[in-house]
Amino acid sequence: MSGFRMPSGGHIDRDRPVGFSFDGRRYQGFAGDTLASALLAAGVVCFGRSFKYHRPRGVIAAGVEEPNALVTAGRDARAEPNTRATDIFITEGLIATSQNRWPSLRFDVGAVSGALARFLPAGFYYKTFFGGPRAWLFFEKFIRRAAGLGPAPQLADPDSYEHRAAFCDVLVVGAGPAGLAAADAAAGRGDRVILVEQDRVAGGSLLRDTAEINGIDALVWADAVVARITAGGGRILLRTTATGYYDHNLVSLAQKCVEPGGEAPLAQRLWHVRAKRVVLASGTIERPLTCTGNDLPGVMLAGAVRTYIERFAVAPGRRAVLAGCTDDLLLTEAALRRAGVEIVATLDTRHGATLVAATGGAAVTGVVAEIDGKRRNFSCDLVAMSGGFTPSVHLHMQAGGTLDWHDGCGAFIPALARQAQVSAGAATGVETLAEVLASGWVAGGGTVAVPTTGTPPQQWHGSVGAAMVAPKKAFVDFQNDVTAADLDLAWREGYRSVEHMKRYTTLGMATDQGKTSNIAGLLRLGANEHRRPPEVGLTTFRPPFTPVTLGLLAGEDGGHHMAPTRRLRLYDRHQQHRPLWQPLGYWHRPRAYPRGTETLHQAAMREATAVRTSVGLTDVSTLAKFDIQGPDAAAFLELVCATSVAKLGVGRGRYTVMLREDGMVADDGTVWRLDNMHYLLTSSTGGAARMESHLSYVRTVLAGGLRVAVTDVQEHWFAAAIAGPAARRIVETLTDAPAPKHMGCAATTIGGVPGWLLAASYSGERAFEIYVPADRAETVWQMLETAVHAADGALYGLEALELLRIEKGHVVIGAEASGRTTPGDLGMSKLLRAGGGFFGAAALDRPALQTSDRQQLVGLTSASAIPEGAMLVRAGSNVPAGYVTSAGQRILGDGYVALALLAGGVSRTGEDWTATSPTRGLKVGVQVTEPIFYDPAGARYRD
Amino acid sequence: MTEVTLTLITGRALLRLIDWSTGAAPAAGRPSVGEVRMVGEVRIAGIEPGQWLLSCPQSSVASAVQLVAGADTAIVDVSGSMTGVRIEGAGWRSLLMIGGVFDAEDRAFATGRVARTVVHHAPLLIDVVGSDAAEAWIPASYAGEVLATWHKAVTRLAAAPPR
Repeated sequence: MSGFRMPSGGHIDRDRPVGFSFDGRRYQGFAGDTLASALLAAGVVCFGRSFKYHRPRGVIAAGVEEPNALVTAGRDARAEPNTRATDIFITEGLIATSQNRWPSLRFDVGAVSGALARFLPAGFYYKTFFGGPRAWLFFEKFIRRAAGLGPAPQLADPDSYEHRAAFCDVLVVGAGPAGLAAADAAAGRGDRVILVEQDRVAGGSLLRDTAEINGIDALVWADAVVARITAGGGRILLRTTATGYYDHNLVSLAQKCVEPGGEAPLAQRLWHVRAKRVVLASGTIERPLTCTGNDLPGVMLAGAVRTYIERFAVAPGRRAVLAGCTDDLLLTEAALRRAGVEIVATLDTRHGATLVAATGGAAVTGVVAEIDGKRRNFSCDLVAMSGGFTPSVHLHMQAGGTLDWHDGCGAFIPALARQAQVSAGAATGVETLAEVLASGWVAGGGTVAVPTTGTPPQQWHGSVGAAMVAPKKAFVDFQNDVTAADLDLAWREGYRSVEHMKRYTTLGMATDQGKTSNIAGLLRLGANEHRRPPEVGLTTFRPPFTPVTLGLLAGEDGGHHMAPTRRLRLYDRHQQHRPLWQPLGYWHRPRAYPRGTETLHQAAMREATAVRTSVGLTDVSTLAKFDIQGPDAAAFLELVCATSVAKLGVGRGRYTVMLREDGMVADDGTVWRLDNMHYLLTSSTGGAARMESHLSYVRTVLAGGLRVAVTDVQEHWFAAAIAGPAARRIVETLTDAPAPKHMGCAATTIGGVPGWLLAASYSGERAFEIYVPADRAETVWQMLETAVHAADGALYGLEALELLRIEKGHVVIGAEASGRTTPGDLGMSKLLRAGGGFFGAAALDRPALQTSDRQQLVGLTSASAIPEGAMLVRAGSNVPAGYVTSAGQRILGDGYVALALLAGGVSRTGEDWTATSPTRGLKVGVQVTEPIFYDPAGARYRD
Repeated sequence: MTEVTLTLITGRALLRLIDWSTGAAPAAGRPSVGEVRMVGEVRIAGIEPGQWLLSCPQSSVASAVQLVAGADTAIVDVSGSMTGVRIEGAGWRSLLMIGGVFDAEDRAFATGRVARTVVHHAPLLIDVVGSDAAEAWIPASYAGEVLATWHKAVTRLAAAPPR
């Protein structure tokens, strides 16, 4: 045990003890403690095992940049793996578990990999690819088992997540001194302000380093700023991290409403903030030194040591060595002295003292230093190191900004901003608190009354190179166990690009994304290359800045595939018959209504048979429907539809197709002339939104001068189709009027509900579509259903509908109309308006669309089931000339039928082909026929 | 605690008014896009250039048609297509920000303003009817899921309002 709780000080609530457990052992901290600070206070040194070599690892940082101390917070379904102990504020009952060790953190069998380190160099798994596939197949299972850190929970996430939008004039990221100054200035101008801070309190570095601002204690000033912003209507989001910066100043924020592993009505909230301006006051991240043993527990960043002392009243050790190249050492030394920690040595490379190695086993026990050219050993249990500071430029880069290399900082700083954003404070490379405050104030739009401070300037930045002593087995990337030797090896093996080096060595990957390692790695590569860092370049900064849970990304849609469910108006009515539901776009429609133990196919065959022999009833409300009115309604429809519309008489309808601009079939449907200047256009369910957009485009762009009104009435009209030999009798009984002839329409009333009766058939039987206002559909459906059952008929779903339409040879958008088929390919040339003038007509003249070897619609018959999607090949060949688009069993006769697209298909009637699906192991002989298998003369439509 | 209540709107007819006269300014009495005007019992919302949505009691449809009909207009009954929900309480704006993309918290979006947007993937129309209330008109097929999501969100709002 080395760390201890100081008797006073810190920003913790000593009146509120908090109990928690780590690896099954009970501990107690105080409200305001992180898991890391509470464990350090309890003398815990080792927090986990490293990824590759299973080396014991402690905590090196105090914030989200922590690469080592990853734990699983919570348990069972609420277990959140790979969570930084430095980013969990303890709550009563928190259960935390160390990772990547077995059977225990203290004794880890996996540590044997450390002894095998020379066989596990950079890219060792790529090298298993050498020597043929057997080598990889042998190693794969070991590598896969070793990969990853904490295990993902196996149970469904029980927590609630939420996505929320927000808009503001100024979004300030970071509530440190610069962010507070920026938000204060913006709020003072009357701007709508959102201030985001990933910590649980505002203050940033002020929580660690005491200072005065405007003549008062800096934290008192911070509280006052927060109060001013809130009073002005601004929003302050704590425990919230700006995770991504996207185009149009859209910034995503991940807000923790409860600490990891905890339970609350809302676990996390994902904010989508659209800001007029963004101020990035994201501060800096201190860099470790690269030397042998720098990963031992007890070796920490100097700023983190100070944070634990000043904020959490925890001294992380009793005998400390300080090493580095910045004035951070001086502040940390003072803090350590105040905490009663013995200062063994301060190794400042600026003054000729360099840390060579940290030594120890389970934790650091000493250091080797080089002072004025002489080696010296020191005994200690804490090393506080400072290798300079890296401005946190992730969001600036995600926003498309550029960076400049700053020799003084030894780091990249923000340069050009491509969106309405500005960086402020330490993130820009400025050093002193006065500069930080001024920078933030100006970024927020402030002009006069810049916050002032009497804090003396410090030299924060130092030359990183001065601290690099190039040892082998010195860790650059702690999280991925990437050493300086690994980087050197990668370079020797030819990985010159920083992007290649990253992927080969795993430098900067995983949860910390190289926050503490990227610059060190870059410098190493640059040294090998004899190039300066800006010439070496950087890897890409991608969201998220810190890891987010998948539950947060799913939001309210967890379990719903992030898509809405559109319900039929009579959903509950259908549900009474316990149908099998089928997603169709966002809609869910009955696929079949199985009775008893019927299978889907049995139910569909029964339902289809009812349509062929008596009567069937189905809900077709999801069809797209457009009300088109006006003096130029016919002209508009002639532009949209490829078939003739102008000659359609009142009370008549027609099948029609609509083309894309390239001449391919986009959709099909029916057009009905309800009155002199009034039409109803229907089209496919799946293409409804696309058709609405297309009609709007034609109406407003192509034909803006037409006097026509187009209204989407898809949901206004409920539609039921009644089909079969008994359909006409039922319709006439219910409407008390003669039914219109096939493709005729009439206004009607059923059960007192006015609507339209359209004599259209998709099934091949005499059939009607009945349209009534959806809010009055229940009555009409009830009457229809009763009548159908009385006629020994049945409800039928999509599966029966499919069997019926295949037999009749009706095409479906998305199957036969595949997006690559013209009307000619589908045998519809004769339907087209000869004079052209419709959308897509010009493209039909392209020579490539006239060739005889195009895939054309054909029918297929077989005594065996024909597999949908199967390729069509000739006997003895395996070159596909087409494929089966839809297939089914004959409803009344024997055998199977299918529709297919086959090269030159029209001329192949009578030929024998093979439908083959190698991936399913299916092969069936088929005969090519005309694409219609039932009542080709259309006799059943006629009364 | 942020309270919001949701109430289904019943007994109202919805009519779509479309004016195909091109290039003409809205006729007198018709509001601009994004605005709402009450004429007697008829609430007229400008939803697109040349297009309005009228809502009125079922019993007032005939008079509403008479009120707005013109030589260059079509009036289409769309009553069956949408479900109306009254959202009432101090948190109505917060509710619409959840799963939404529209700035319902903008105070300029006040009584007499109307907007079409997407919330929880569903297209809907928001009509601000008072300082503490708005009406949302949702395509009927989406309404069930949106309402279920809203009810959960209302519970969360009460328990954990956004700070």
